[in-house]
Amino acid sequence: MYNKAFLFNGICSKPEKLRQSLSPADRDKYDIYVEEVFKRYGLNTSLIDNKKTDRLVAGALMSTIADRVVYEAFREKGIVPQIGCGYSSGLVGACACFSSISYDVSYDIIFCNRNTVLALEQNDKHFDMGVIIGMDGNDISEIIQSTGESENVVIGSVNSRICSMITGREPSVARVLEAATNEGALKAIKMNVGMAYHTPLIEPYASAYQKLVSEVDYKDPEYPIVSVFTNEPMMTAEEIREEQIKDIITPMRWDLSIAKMEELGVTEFYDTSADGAIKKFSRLKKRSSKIYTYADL
Amino acid sequence: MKEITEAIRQEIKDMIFDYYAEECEVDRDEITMETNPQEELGSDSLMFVELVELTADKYDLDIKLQSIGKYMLKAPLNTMADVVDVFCKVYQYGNDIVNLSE
Repeated sequence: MYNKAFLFNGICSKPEKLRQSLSPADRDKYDIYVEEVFKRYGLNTSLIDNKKTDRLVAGALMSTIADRVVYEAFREKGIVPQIGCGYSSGLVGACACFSSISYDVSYDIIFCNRNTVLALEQNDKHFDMGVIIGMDGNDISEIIQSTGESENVVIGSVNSRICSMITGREPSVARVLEAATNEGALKAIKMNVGMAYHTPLIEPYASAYQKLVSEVDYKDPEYPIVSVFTNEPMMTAEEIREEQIKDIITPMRWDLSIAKMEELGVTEFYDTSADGAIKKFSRLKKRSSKIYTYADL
Repeated sequence: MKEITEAIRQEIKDMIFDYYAEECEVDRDEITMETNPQEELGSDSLMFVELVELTADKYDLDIKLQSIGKYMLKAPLNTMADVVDVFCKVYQYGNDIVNLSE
């Protein structure tokens, strides 16, 4: 049985907001990590000064680094995980923090997403993602069906009973969001990221990414990581490899992963996003469970 | 339709103000009925959902978020006065709020 779970954000927050949420000491550490990593990949630490195709990846690297800084802050306070879970590319951060891969390899994996962005551009493909708040997954599925967009849009992640992410072809995502608004969604917002993660539609453009993650030398993670696809704890290098290969092309069930961890006994969840983003979109079932954030430190 | 007393209105207002003060980390005295919760307090839809859930629990209401969402298409929430008003209407009308005009 487990008590403490660490939740890794991945790329859900704006990098500037993450940095501002850190304490001065942690911000210094974050800046040092970002400087080192960005130098390695020839990226500009000022996001806007990167080429358009590099901005998404640069932001993703910053988010992963911020997660690492928060993880280290929790550890310095003596908070030790017993199990973890990563939202989208948060899996990569979880693997590094739990020593299944090195931090350098985690950055290589994040950076390799650049190839997917370039492949989309070369093939003139327009994808996007959106967030719908105030509806459950079943209602959103019905809306996708009723708008005739089942071939073009899927629910990329059911985050909770009141928040989901949709993903797919850009104009279809816009149509589904509009339909959701008309059906009473409290918020239905287009992310304008030019990318659609967690849909099989992206697979033809993700070959370089999948090749890289399939060839990484993984170790068994120090603590189990719950799969957002099977919702079962993964304890071996091979399970982690399979999860990484699936990651950007498969819809997630974040809600069921949280539920699984509660079922396994977790009552203390630690959100490694600097701005508490995971806490906002997650929902716990038990009154005795709580999500702690960096601000609680 | 449920009757709403002035005492309940005040209770709802206090609950909403206390919630935003805590979640947005501002002094309760800084919040007025004219305050724009999104622009001035930095609140968001997820906070709003949590407030709906708290209200539903407190007053034992069975309310669908979509009912509120559809009403908000007619009557957007720009100020705290709008927020208090919608929650009072939720208390009174429940899911029938969707049938109200703005």
